[in-house]
Amino acid sequence: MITLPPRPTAIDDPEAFRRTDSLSMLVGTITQLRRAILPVVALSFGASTRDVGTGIVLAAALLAIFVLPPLGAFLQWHFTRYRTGAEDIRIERGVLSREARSIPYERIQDVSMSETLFSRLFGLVEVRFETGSGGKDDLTLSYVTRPEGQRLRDLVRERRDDVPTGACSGAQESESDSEGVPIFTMALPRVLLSGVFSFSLVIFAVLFAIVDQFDFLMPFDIWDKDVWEQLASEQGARIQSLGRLAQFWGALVAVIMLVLVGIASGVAKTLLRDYGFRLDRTAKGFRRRRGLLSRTDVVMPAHRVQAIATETGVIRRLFGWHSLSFVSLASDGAKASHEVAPFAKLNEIARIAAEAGIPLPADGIAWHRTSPRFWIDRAAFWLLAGTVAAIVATWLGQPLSAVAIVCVGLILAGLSLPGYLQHRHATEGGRIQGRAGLLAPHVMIAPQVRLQSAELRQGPIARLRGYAALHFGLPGGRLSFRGLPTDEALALRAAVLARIDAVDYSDLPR
Amino acid sequence: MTDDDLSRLDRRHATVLQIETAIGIAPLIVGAIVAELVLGWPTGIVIGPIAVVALALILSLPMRRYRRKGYATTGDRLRYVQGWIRHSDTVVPFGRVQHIDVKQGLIERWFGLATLVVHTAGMHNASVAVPGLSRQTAVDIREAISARIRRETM
Repeated sequence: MITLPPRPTAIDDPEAFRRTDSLSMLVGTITQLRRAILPVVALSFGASTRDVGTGIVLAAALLAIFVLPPLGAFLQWHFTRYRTGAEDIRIERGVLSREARSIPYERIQDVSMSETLFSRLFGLVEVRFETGSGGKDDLTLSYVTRPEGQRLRDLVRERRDDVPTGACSGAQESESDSEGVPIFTMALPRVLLSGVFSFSLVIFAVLFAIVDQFDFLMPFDIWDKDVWEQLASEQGARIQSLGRLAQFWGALVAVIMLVLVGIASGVAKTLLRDYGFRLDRTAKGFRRRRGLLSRTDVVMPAHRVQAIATETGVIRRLFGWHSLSFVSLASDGAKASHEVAPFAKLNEIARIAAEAGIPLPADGIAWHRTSPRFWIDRAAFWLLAGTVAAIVATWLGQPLSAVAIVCVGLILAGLSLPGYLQHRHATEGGRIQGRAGLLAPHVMIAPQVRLQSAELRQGPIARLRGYAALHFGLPGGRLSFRGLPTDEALALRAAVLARIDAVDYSDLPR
Repeated sequence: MTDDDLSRLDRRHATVLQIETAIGIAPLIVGAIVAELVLGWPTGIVIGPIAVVALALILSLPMRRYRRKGYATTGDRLRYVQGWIRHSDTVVPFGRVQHIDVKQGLIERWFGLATLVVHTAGMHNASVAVPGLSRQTAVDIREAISARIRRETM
């Protein structure tokens, strides 16, 4: 191990700009070298198949291996510098385009350090400052010495501890957070019933995929058209010989089988996922446990719940069943929002929602509709587009396609009516509520103070006709309203912004 | 909130847009020159019209785009307005900013301009970029937002 004398700047003035550890040039060189290997191999291979001078190839390869990686690493190192100030961490980088990033300590959720094989050899770490932006835009410093990484982490934690503590990272809370009060549980009959409603024919897709994977084991080739034609003609002849009644019963049995398989696979899927579903209200938030074979245990701090959403299905709504999920920055497996009540009556959902501090809309709430002009314009657009396309098709001598195009255009235009009927929104007690869907409405409810930004969008036609789209920035979710009358959109935005100014909630996902 | 509150971006931003448009159009002109050389047509028969169109585009389009853009930082909010066909009017309260970038592209650097990028926690508008500020303005806005964040969490 090489030991270097400590750089004076680091000790004299902790707030001065400094560079990452100079040894990171070495690690950077190795990393870039690894990236250069494939192109060099490809280059030499490509050159060997054609008549290119060996000298040129050799020079290019030498350049790619011995000159570019060290040079790149040096430039990267030389032009990257950072500073830990009184209020924020600043990082500047870039050779030709410079980027200066500033992250206030309050916005840093956590500081993580990671090592690669090579950085480890030199005792270096990559420091990642995690902010609420979901990983993509996190700030990284590569590489600094381990003590320096530790210093940065301690510094951030220390600065942040000036701020009220008690809300630390959600994942680590699960152990310390003891048993709470169960506010929603699903007994086995409820889970089974919920399975019946999640009728799914996905099993056929799975079977098909399996068959596709293992088709070499099958006695015939499933992609061979002849096999199926033969099967159909043989069986078809048999079916035709059966008579009307038998044909009818045969078809009925086939449909019933299909439904049964669909229900069975829905029940199995739900049972595996939701068995023993239990949602607790704990001191800091909510804790959800569920699952038959793999049991999951998720803790959601209450202050992390950004919005709630209820959904239902056409049939299950007739029986009064709905589902509730929390929208938050943390993701629940592949889903963005956390399901906290997959199958519940509205009064149960109302209780959970109230516990989260975001009550469901009241009965007599005034829902506003979108601007009818928006939907009329949409219908007009599709009619126009369909007509133009149909004319072109006729001109090309394809009258049949023209008819089909007109039909599609009519359908798309016709969708405007249900579109107008199903979109509604309302504000109530500092919450903004969006509702879509006629037979199976889903409702999204977000406290206005949780919103991060507001954007008004308008095209030339929208401006002329007086409507606009309003998009709100919601952590972990989407809240957009299309086709609002312009003055209403402006008023809504102004109201939301006024509320945001009153409270600062932006440090919520901590 | 009306459009009167909006400030124009730095004048030099229009020039930057023109240079960027010119770079974008350059392949077309090169293509025209090559086509003329290959086909052996009289000089200027292709290049001429294309050069006129390109010049018109470079002179008018960026100026229009520049005039449609505006920003405001009044009332502890960052507001950025742009576009005509895709008009958008975005407001980010200072208190909702997660972190801030001041970026400088190569051309922007020549003109002493910078792009201010504020990042929020929302999924929509996760980052809002305000281009064409003088570097000093961008830094000033950054400091104002930083100060506001600091003040609120204390």
